Amino acid sequence: MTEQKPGFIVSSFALLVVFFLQLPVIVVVLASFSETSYLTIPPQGWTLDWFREVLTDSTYLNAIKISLILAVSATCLSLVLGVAASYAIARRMVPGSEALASFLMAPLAIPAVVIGVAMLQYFSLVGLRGGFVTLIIAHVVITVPYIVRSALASLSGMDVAMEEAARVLGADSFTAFRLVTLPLIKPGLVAGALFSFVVSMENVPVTIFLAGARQTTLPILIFTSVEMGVTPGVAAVSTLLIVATLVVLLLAERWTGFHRFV
Amino acid sequence: MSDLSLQRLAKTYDGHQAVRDVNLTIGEGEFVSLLGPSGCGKTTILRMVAGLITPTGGSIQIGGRDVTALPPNKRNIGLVFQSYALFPHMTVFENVAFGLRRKKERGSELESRVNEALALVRLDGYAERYPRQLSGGQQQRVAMARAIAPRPSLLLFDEPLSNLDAKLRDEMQIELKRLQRDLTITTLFVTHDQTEALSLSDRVCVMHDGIIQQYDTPEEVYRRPKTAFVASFIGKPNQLSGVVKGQSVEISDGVVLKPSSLDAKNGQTVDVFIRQEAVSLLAKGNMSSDAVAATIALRSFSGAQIQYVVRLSNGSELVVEAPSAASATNFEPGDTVGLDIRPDDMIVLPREG
Amino acid sequence: MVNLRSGLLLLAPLALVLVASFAIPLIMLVPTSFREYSPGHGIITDGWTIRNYLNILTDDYYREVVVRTAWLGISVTGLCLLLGYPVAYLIVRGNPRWRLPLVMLVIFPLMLNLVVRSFGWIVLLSNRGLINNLLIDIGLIERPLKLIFNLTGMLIGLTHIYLPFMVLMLVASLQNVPRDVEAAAATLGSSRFHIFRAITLPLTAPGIISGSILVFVLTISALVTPRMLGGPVYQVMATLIYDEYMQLLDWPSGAALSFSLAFATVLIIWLSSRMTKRWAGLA
Repeated sequence: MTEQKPGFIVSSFALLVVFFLQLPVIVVVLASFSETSYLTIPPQGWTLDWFREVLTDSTYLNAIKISLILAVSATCLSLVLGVAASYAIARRMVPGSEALASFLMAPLAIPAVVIGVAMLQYFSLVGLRGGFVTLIIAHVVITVPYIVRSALASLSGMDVAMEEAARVLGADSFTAFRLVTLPLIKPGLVAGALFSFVVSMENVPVTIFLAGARQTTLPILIFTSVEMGVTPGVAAVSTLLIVATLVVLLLAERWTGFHRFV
Repeated sequence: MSDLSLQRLAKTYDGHQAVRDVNLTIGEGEFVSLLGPSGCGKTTILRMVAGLITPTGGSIQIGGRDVTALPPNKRNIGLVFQSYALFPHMTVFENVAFGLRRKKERGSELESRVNEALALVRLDGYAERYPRQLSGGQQQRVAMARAIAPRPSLLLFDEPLSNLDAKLRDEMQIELKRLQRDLTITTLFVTHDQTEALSLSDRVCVMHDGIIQQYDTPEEVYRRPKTAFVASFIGKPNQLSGVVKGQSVEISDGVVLKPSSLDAKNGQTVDVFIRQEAVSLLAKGNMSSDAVAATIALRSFSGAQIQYVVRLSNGSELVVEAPSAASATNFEPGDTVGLDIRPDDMIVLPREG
Repeated sequence: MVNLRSGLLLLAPLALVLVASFAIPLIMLVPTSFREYSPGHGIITDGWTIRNYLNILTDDYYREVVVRTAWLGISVTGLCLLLGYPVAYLIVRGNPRWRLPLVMLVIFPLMLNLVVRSFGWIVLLSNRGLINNLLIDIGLIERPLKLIFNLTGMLIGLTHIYLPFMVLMLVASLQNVPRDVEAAAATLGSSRFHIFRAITLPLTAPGIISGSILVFVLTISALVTPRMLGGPVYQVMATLIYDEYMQLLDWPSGAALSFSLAFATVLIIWLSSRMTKRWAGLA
């Protein structure tokens, strides 16, 4: 009996599509090493000048620093708030679990640009626009659904009897959570945190309305400088991001089998 | 070691009464089974005793101390879960040490008590394994070692053998009985398996619809069931209904049964329960006058036993279990036989409602 | 009850953050959207108007942007489905050894910064970009093709951005198709193509629907890629909202447009979740 398998044509087409997915990545990396400010095939001469330019430019360095601080703080805060809330929902400690879960996930359903303008108007009104804490809170709003999603999935996939066993064996609720629940849901949380970090790192539609003059994040910097025209510096900093993403993705896959959580 | 006492214990879920005013006392060192079909409230009682759910009424005392309002970690109990609930990220040693560490045991004392518990369940040498590296039966033993290591005053089992295959289940039953005899910890054992309950327990508490039907020794529950539910749930009984006529029960069309004792008024409608193994089949020639005539409808060989479906003259059918030893008489479908029902083994209960 | 109290304590911090900096800001857009904007004077705070909403339906420019946004959503969804299904099929039914590498190659662009991905397409598609240079070099064309700041660029860019979501959704639903059912059809004399059409495709319909809903909603909400590949002239709803707030300062119109867009996405998500729930009930 023949099994249902993709034939030669389907496989070739699919591989072409997978190549299409990598295409912009490849050209960005090539462009960042190219001597000319535009890219040709074959590239005319190789250089590392663009990387030197980026790594000595305080505008870029500052943007990288702001982005990292923002993404790390927002992710940590989202983790703490999101896991606590998800626990209450997953263990049915509060009535209306389903409606509450939908509310925590709601920022995913509203277009980011709408959240951005709503926050712009609101934080201007209450006089908090431009504050870094405001920016962190805004990023918590857009990243926390990813934490909640993976925390809820991990918690409901876990045998509640394990927690109960720990309780009966003399652990108070917090100890049971720390010693049993947390280690068991950790892979899911790592995946969720990674998503949260990525979402914060690449956000433009909310950040651009709220960031003050000294809070230009990396994606905002690239977004606005591209409006002025393509510069090889953008390609260089993009290549750095590509390498960082690749490394983190491979590490996450090794540690947690990341692809299962996507 | 201490006793357990439940007073008017009740639990209502969304208007459904899972447990209704249950009173139950278990003596020190006693092994008691809660037996009943799923949904009868037995697991709800166990979880209330463990402190995992809050009762809607009544109280729970362990060793004379009211624990109704205490969280599970303050009750000093051991619980073996149906799913075992071993911590997959900890070694066998750490699993067993978990409860001891909560009691601030450290160092060599901790180590010796873990090893002692593992020796009791015959798992010495498995301390460094992870649960996923063990077989189902071994995981079951780790779960028991983990529950007894902190020396609980009360041991609870929630259908612990239901995930094992038949052969392993028999082995573990014997293991359990030995363990309980050695430790003499007061034990509450929840199961839907009557063989388990009857063979392990000092007393069996049969439950149905959140109510205790009968609380007695295994022999009493088996031989003298007090309610129709117990009579039909324990053993594999045939059920016939009839009317009391003097000292006998007339089923219909001249089929008359003569139980040894009859606690019912003349003319009352009753249910008669007859266990499959309480009936002997007699060949046509040596039928006594008391024997009920029947025809073999089906025969099914299952190793040590042969099951016959026999049809009475009024059309009702009974299942009869006979030993399959070579010397025993063998019948074929269509044969006419006499049913010799031991009068002691006929259980007659008045029809309810 | 102790449980309820600790549950509320666990839930409260996040709920407060979301109410204070998500729900209330959104609700406060409502009054703004019914205000009048006068160039030079800003927002007129006395009196209400529904003109901002009427404009979306009647004004030619607005209508063009709304129709374009919806059209982009539909085309990108269709393209993602067409390109994504073979990839998902190869991942689930192809050589198991290719599986992980292929999945990683699908996830990688997804995890990569959106701005970087869009920038990559600028490098490829712009007038002096790789594709035009290549075509001129080999003499196929004399003057660069216009591949960017128009529909072509946006279609390519958005399809690329949202294709991974579609593939992953389809992979999940293909994995749920029992091989036995396909084998049963084969023993009943179905050809491979007929098995695919009669068994596999209908059984993955839930994945196709939810993947399509996701891609459609993401596409009509997108700001970054449409702005980077569409430029300031070729607008969609999200970029128009952005301009109304940042450049034109016409907040009332922007708020009305925001509300319409959010209403559309929430309605679509709600309808689809109701639909999939009903399906789950049937299964």
